[in-house]
Amino acid sequence: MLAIKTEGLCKDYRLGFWRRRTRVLHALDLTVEAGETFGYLGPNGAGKTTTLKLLLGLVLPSAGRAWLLEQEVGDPEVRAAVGFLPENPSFYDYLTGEEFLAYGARLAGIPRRRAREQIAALLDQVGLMGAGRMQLRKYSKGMLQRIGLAQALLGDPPLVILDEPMSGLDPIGRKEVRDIILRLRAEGRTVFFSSHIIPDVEMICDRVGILLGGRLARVGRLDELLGTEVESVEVTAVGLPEPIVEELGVLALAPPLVQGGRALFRLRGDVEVDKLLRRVLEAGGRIASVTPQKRGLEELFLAEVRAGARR
Amino acid sequence: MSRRGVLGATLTVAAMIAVVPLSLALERRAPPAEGGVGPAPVLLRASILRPLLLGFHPLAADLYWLRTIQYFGAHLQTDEQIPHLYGLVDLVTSLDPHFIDAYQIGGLFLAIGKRFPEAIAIYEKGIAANPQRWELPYDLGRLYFLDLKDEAQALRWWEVTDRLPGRPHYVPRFMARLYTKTGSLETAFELWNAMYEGSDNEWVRKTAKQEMQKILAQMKAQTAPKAGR
Amino acid sequence: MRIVAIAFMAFTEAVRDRILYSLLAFALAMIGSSIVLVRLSVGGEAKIVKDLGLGAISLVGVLIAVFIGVGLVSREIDRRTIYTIMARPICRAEFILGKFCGLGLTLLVNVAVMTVGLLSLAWLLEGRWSPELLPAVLLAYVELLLLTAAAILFSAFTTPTLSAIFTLSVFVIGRLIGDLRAFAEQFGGAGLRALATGLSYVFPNLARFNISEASVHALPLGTGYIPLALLYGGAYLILFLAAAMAIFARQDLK
Repeated sequence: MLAIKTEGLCKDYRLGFWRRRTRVLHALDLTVEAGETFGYLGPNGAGKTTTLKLLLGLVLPSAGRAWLLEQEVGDPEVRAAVGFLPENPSFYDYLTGEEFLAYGARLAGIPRRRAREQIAALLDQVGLMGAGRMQLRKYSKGMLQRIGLAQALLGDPPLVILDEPMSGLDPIGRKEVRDIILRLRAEGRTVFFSSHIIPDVEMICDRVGILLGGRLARVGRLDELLGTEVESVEVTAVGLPEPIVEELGVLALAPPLVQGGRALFRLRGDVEVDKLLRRVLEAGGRIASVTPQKRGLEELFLAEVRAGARR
Repeated sequence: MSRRGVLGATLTVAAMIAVVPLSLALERRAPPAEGGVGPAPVLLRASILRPLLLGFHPLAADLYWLRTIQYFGAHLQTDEQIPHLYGLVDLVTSLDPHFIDAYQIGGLFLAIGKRFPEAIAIYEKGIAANPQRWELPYDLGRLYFLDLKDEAQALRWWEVTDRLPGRPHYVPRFMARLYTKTGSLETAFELWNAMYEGSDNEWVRKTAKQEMQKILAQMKAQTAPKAGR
Repeated sequence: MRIVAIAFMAFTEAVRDRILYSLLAFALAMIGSSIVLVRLSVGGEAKIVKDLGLGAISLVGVLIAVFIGVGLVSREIDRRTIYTIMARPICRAEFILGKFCGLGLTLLVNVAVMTVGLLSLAWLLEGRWSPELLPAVLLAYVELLLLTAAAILFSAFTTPTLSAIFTLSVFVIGRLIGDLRAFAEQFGGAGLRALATGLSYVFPNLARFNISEASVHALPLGTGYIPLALLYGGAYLILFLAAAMAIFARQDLK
């Protein structure tokens, strides 16, 4: 089953005094399988939030179609099975956390008794147990993010859409949100979230899409996207005499780094690694580590952004 | 406190102190208000004013009514001239044509000021706008009878009164008296007495009581010479 | 069910925004002015208190309907609180209707409490109840609902400030339109007459909901006047709300 599907989804906004038509999303074709955790990456202004709002019916498509859980968006009932956390969420600040969740539950059509149980459980889950009776105006930014997550999880939705869930949080807050997403993933739910904080995405996503200037630049499994890229291998050797280090330097991509009797070589491929290892052992040195270097998501992302800028 | 704070506080205090002499000086130079009992009331044409009040015209009628009372009271105590009273009552009753008290008391005011044609005009306006209310033709009949000594007109308006719902039981008796043309002082006394008994309004009761006392004095004066003869 | 939830939340917000404090101001104004009036006036005391009470009920209500009404939807968008709400399984029309009902409920409570206050004061003055004021209050409430719907309609496509100006214009034109039409028929040419007639169908004739004068003097209304006025108000209410829903349904919540 597909959790999310879009076909040629476009969005134009009329901007400026002359209301010029500006396309902010270009023919987006995207599918997200049920159970996947999907990271939607892109710099600010790439159209991530617009995509999410299109999926939730908050903005209406200029062209194209979209489906959530194989029902076309536009029918409000689709959203019964979807939880949503907006970017930098803001709620009725005169409500307490509990009142706010109760309101969300009523709008979601959750029966009162079940809602009460769920609210207690969710407050516990997001670590706001003691703050349920506190007015939202007194919440810190991290607490607002967490109560926002709690309201997105009301009614146990199989699909959760989060807009920048980790932005503006301190490292502890980011880890907590990450843990919640991982828990949702373990529960078999689909999580679709946007972010520009790459390490967060890298750690928890099955697949990512990179959106640049309103166009989907890359999409795929993380290991596919990263695994096909140029690799290097870093070898650390200990106890090598200095002339040997210099001699081996010709094999490496860059001059070796020497520090406290340890030498670090960056090598292109297996052939060089074999040669180097043999020579090191011959010379009476020891191999401390051999680490294949994959290209990280961050480098991929930056490369895409640069390529996009050139296009 | 910082120097800026001291400066700010000094300026504030200075401004507060300056307000009083400034406003007094301004007051002295302002164009003088009309002396005596205040300016003539501003009267707008009701046909223009009424739509502009956006449905709040009954409230405007009330405010003009208070103005009317002030005007009457002030002039009654001083020069006894009430040239603008008719205009005020007319405006009030145009803004709220069903304001019965305004016709009744306004008519009484005008009669006290001896402005009888205006009083009659007010009553007739009220009767035309409220043909089912007995109070207005009754009052108009009383005005004709007591102030203008026009018994034919008084009878005519009491006949109108007699046909209206809720009219008091004594109306036919007054009519009978008029038909027989007897006892004008007694009738006058009874008329004022009926007004005294029938009204909840302090001012109306006070006025009626004064009139009754005057008539009693007159009756005494009439009977005294007879007794002396 | 969801409409009820949205309505109650709008009511809660109004209460927490201290809208009902207007009642306190009303009570003070009524008591204060009636004490002054009874001292100042000769005749018409009860009438003046009733005029004042009905006038204040209407005026306070108009201010609430206009200035809260224009913020019902736009404030949710400005504060971005609308995203979590509209991401729920509710449709745009339900949201509009819920907001409308919420302010309607606020106004109902306001009008009801003020009416009880006015009737009590009139009872103190006259020693009898004045049920004849109730139809005037009912129709004044219908007028307030119409203005609320107009405020929501305008705020669906323009800024709150402009919406407030437009809604107040609907009030002024609506209260004037009958007189304007009569004026045009008396003095105007064919063009002006046609314009006045046209306007009188676009704008509801709000003077028809202002029967305070007749109520205070206990004058009879035409047979079936109240039900007809309710139907007339209901028709415009449906038109205004439908237009607001249609506009809001096509709007991007950016």
